[in-house]
Amino acid sequence: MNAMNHTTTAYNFGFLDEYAKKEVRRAILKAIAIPGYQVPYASREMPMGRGFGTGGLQLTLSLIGPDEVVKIIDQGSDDSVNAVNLRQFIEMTCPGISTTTRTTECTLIQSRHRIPERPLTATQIIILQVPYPDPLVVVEPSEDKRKTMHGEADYSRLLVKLYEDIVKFDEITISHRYPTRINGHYVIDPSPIPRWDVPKLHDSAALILFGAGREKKIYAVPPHTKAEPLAFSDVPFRVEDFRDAAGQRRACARCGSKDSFLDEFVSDSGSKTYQCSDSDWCDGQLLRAAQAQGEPA
Amino acid sequence: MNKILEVRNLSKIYGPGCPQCLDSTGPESDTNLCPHCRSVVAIHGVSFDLFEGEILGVMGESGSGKSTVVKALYFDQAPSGGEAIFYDSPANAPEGKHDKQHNLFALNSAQQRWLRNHRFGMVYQNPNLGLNFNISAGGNIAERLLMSDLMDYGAIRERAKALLERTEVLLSRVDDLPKDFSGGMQQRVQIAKALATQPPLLFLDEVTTGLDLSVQARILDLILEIQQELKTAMVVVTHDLGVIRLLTGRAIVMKYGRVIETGLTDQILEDPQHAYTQRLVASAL
Repeated sequence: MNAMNHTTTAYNFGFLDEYAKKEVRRAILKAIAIPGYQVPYASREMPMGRGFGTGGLQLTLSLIGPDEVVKIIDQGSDDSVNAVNLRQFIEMTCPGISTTTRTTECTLIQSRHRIPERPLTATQIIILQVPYPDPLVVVEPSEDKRKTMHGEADYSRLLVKLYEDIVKFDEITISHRYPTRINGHYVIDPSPIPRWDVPKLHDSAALILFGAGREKKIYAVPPHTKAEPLAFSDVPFRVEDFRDAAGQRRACARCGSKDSFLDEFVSDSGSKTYQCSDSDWCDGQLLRAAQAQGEPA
Repeated sequence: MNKILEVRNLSKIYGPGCPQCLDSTGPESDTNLCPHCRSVVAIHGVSFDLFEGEILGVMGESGSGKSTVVKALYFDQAPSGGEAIFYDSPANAPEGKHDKQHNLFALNSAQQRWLRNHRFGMVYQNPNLGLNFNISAGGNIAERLLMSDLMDYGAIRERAKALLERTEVLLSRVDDLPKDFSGGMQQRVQIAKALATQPPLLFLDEVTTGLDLSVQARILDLILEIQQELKTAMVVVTHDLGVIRLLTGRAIVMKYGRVIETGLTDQILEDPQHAYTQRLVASAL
């Protein structure tokens, strides 16, 4: 058997056994066939706690092949603890694959909280780790009823939440996990990506997969599929604008980028600095600036 | 007058049911609990017609099955048998359909939900059932408008305010939670919510029970005004003969799940035929 030949260590290539991978791939195919539908699957025990990205990891390990170039991001950064640990685990259990921090070079991205700033291509797949797959969980505790609501595309109670937000705060205050309607029917919880990243789901060239390990659900936004954030016709959806008190768009303190999602850092003295959340994007901007200086026109 | 609702042989049995159920329950047997299989025959053989702009009263004692009738018609509980046909005006037929008749219990759940959200309204005895206490009064009305596919925030807000104003809820409280309201005010919010989509058919289940007399009178006035204004057909379920006398033109009397008397309200109240109705009317006077 294939599984036996690969085994130089005690584990199969990709840690999961081939049957487990097959089951996950089947769920992925179904998820792609029904955009936005949450496909249940038998989430396996992984050697880490549920909630640390086991859903995304199982998808990655099921899709990974020996020639894969993998990028792992956590909160936009390749170097945070969670990303580093996941990358090491994949390197250990998938001998022969390569890893990278460059968005341009990778074929498979596993991410928590962010979609890279640089537009993805048709040869890439992005896998998002999902803590809460069902957007309706905030308005309906019974999963049975939620399934009926999804089936009938009954999302009025989510819209009531938006209504209440506007009444209370004059705008929709959902900062992440913004409910988004896929292909005109199912509304998904697009994992804790900020509002900034929600428009990237729409008509994406890359396949976007969502894996919830604890909740045992897989769903997908296939390439070039409609993704519309829920909104009112007269109060449209908008992304974070990062304007300061004077109305100026803030720039990254490191690379000067004015068109990326910014993280806020508060120093001990109380002053605030802003920096690109996507570290690869920030590095890329610096590199391009250095090259431009090195070769004056 | 156009017929709006036609109900034939509606029945609802809780439990396994057996061939002897129907013969061993009802007013003659003085029970609705089948002695053979312990099933509860909540309603059986209930038939009536309702016409445009008419108010029909359903009266009877507790457990007579009157609430079960409206719950079945509002799709809260699926009936065990019988049929009901809703005649919608052709202008209001759903998109792409010319058929204005809906055979209620033959529809799939999505179609039933459409009718419930767009064409029917329900006011429950307990505001807990009709309102979501965790969202504001305005939000409750917005929910119903959003269900009927109105997607404009400004328009929703306007409609919610207009409806609450119409049902005499203070506009300054539109963004307060209904759980902080008095019982009468909760009931008025519920009526506003039920009316939000201007449904041609409204079910009222014991709307004034548990309210004090002056509040009762104002709610009843409101219901009558709405009926005059919007020509809404209503099915009013109550055990209060005063409510029946004030609101309804026709009434049916139920006991142990069966209709024992039906006719014009005045006739039933002044000249009751069935022994039970006679007792009921006599005890109220």
